[in-house]
Amino acid sequence: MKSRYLIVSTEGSEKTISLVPEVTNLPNNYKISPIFSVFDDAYEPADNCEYVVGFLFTEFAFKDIGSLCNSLHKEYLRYIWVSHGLASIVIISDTPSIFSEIQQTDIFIRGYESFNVSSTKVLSPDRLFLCDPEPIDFNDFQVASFDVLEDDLKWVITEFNHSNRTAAYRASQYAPSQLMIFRRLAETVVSIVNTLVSITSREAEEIDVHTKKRFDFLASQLVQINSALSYIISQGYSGIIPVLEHDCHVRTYSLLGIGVCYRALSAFARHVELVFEKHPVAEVIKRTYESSISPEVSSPGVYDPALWDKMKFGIDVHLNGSTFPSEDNPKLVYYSGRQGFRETKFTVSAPINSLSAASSVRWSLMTLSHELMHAHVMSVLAAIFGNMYNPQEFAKLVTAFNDYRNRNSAYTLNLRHGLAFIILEYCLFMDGVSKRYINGKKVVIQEADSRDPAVLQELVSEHFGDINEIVVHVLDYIYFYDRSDDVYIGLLWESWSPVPVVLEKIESYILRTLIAVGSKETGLPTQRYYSSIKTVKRSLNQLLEKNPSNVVIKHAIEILENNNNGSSKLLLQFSGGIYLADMADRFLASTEINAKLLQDPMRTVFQEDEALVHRMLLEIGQFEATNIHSPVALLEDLLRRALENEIKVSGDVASVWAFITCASFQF
Amino acid sequence: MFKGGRDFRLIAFTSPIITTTEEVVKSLPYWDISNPIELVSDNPDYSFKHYYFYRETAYFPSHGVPDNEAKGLFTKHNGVDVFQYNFYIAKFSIDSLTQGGEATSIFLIAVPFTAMAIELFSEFKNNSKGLKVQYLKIDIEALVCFLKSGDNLEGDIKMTKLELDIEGDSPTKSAVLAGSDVPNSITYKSVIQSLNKMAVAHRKCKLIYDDRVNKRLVIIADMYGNYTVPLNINGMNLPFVATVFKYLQSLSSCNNDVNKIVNKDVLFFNSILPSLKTLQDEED
Repeated sequence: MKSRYLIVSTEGSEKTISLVPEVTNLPNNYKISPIFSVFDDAYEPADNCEYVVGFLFTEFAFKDIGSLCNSLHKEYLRYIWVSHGLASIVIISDTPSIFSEIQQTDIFIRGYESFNVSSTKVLSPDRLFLCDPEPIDFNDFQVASFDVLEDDLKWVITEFNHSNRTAAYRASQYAPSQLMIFRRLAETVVSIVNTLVSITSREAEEIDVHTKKRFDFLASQLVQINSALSYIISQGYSGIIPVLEHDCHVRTYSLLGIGVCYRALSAFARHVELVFEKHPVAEVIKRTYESSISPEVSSPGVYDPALWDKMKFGIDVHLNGSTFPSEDNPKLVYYSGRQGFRETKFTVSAPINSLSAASSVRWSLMTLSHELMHAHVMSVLAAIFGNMYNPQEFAKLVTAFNDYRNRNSAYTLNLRHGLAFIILEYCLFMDGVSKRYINGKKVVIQEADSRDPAVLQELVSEHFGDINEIVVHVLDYIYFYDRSDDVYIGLLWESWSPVPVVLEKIESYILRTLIAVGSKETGLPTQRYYSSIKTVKRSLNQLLEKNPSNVVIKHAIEILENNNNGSSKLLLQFSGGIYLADMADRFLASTEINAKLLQDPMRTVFQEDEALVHRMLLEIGQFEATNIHSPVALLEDLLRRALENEIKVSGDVASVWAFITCASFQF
Repeated sequence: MFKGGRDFRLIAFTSPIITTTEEVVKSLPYWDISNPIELVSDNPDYSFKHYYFYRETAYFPSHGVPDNEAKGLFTKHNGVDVFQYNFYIAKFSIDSLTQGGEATSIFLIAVPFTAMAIELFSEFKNNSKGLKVQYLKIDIEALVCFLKSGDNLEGDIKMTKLELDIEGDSPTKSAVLAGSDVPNSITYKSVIQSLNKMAVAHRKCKLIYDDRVNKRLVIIADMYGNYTVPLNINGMNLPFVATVFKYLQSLSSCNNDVNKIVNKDVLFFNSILPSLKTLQDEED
């Protein structure tokens, strides 16, 4: 695949189009997009030629290019290029009959627009074709009743209606598989608005502080949704017909847009969501764990992980084909220059840098896995604790906790309480660790009073962030990286390196890495600690070799070397963390989810050195007449290749291929 | 070439545009190829051709070749010292995979070395673009299902080795079961049932086909459409390979609870080139 830039410039009513290897001497008023030939011997028109430029819209370009390679006559294949836009197939040809030839293949064309060009001047439209859009009822994508609300909220909802309707219309034409996202979004927004209307309709004296807070929170969610939709329309659905009149706000791709990049991001998120929807861990915990027996729970200092038998107590035992309806909305995805990789209740964003560097370690879309896991872990922790903000509920839990600790009564521990007690034990242990070291000095401490619900609630709140991060890291490591240390550590530390806060809190990032990797190790906590340090140091040294100027990684290695003496705070913190990691691995990590996230017919087992490893069979630049089943498996494989310097093409070629391939996932 | 027979790497495909073995040759890489020798066949619908490649490249088996045998490969062709390799192209037909459809012409290309297969087959894929080539593959799980179903009354085919790819348990990525009749073993049933939470792919198998008269063939097939078959001297048993494919095509679809299979055919086509990366782990 070779890369070029397609530039369209406009002077008055005249348009010119050029295909150039480098961006130099740009005209005043122009739009530009990089495009990539599928074959190296691609046709490139000379300046004084007559030719046709066509923009072909298909829903799954990877599969369709594969079909074209198989069925289009060989002489036409050199006219095929790909782009980041919704018109992901671009035809540049001196043979006007090529569109007729393409129509005779079995690919489904959603739209096609082409222009005759002579000596770079766009002469006239050649062809325009749009298939019938998927029939939809626009009422399914809008909110109807909200007149009682105040004007500012009415405006927000009106804006939502316009935005969602626009997104739905464009999806119905170019990407019908996306319609369900906007349909479910409308259902969610209707539910939010109904609550807002209900609150507004109450008498003033019925609205207390709590209700007001809820109202404001729901209103802010609508604003968040509108902001995301605005991104989606301008990123996912720009570059549509008429192509030369539309404009994408990401200027490097202003001509054709980044529609396929949006589709790839959406495919990744949706694949993960679908797997978790079919394996509703939080619902299963809520509905079945109180009637299931738990193994013994002891404190981090004395517990025996062998008693936490995954085959008897793991989530797979309870998942067993359970299907509960999902209440969650599919995430709205977009690229953001400001927010980077970030997840909120309704949205997931990736950095703009990923558009040109998705095949690199630093900007790989695989980092999204961590963000998506936060939502999952929050729901799991909520299922474990129930309504811990209700003082009576929490007090009951604390009483049961102390009864169990003291073996006061014939208390049969159920699994939900078992998990809650593990978290409480962790909080007490970590409270002790932090008190042991004040201003870097070891002091004698008094353990927190485990009988006092207020004390425990405060401890849980204080450590909740760490609990969340540890469980997220462990599940991320298992589910998305198949416990592959080098790939996981490589991604973490390359993606963390440009983030300023990492250097300030580097010990906590080191700790998370050690704990995640340590979840695979066996033995006493101390043994696992040293094994983890060895593993992490080895991976970090490999990264440093490739990039000796990486200050963050250098500093991390120094800290690990200074902590290799067994008498440090880090070891104690690790001991607490590994206790939680074992909980996550043995009780919460599902083998079935792991399998489904990574399963793909194009992924198989190879012998590499002395190890068996899973790899994708596709080469970068290869197109086949099939869909990808796991965007996670594809991106994980690309990440590994980047870490092992196996990518022999330029980053932008690898990235666009990755986007097009990922976007072929059908949901 | 070698004095005895040896294993050949093989792909099978069909194309509405390729109708003769000569057209297959046109899509091969531009290597020095001899004129074909037609192998004896008692069926006029079959065509089995023996060719030679003349290459300066040496393709040696991974286990090493005795010196005198290696030297025996050498010959002079057009005044140049080259290695001479056998390869074969066959054409036969099978009944349509869709009900009521016309018979389908199948082509086989068989080469003696893995490295040669990787080079030649990927060039074939490149050169045959636009020819609507569809590769013939075995759905190994569906075949297992058939072999368990009791419809294999004649016992013509047995599966004696099965490799499983396992996803979802990172310390274990594959399992190999071997025996006289793997699909009908308690071990196979227990393994599949115990792996029900994981994603298991039936990746590769070894089959023994016995025509109950005087011929027997061992064929190794993977899920990607790569085959390994032992061909005897001058490929005289190549027509029997075609017989085995015709037999596989005759196997009906299958339903099975343990494997959760519903109505899957044993043979199918798709345009994805049998993956040569999987051959890289193979030994000649």
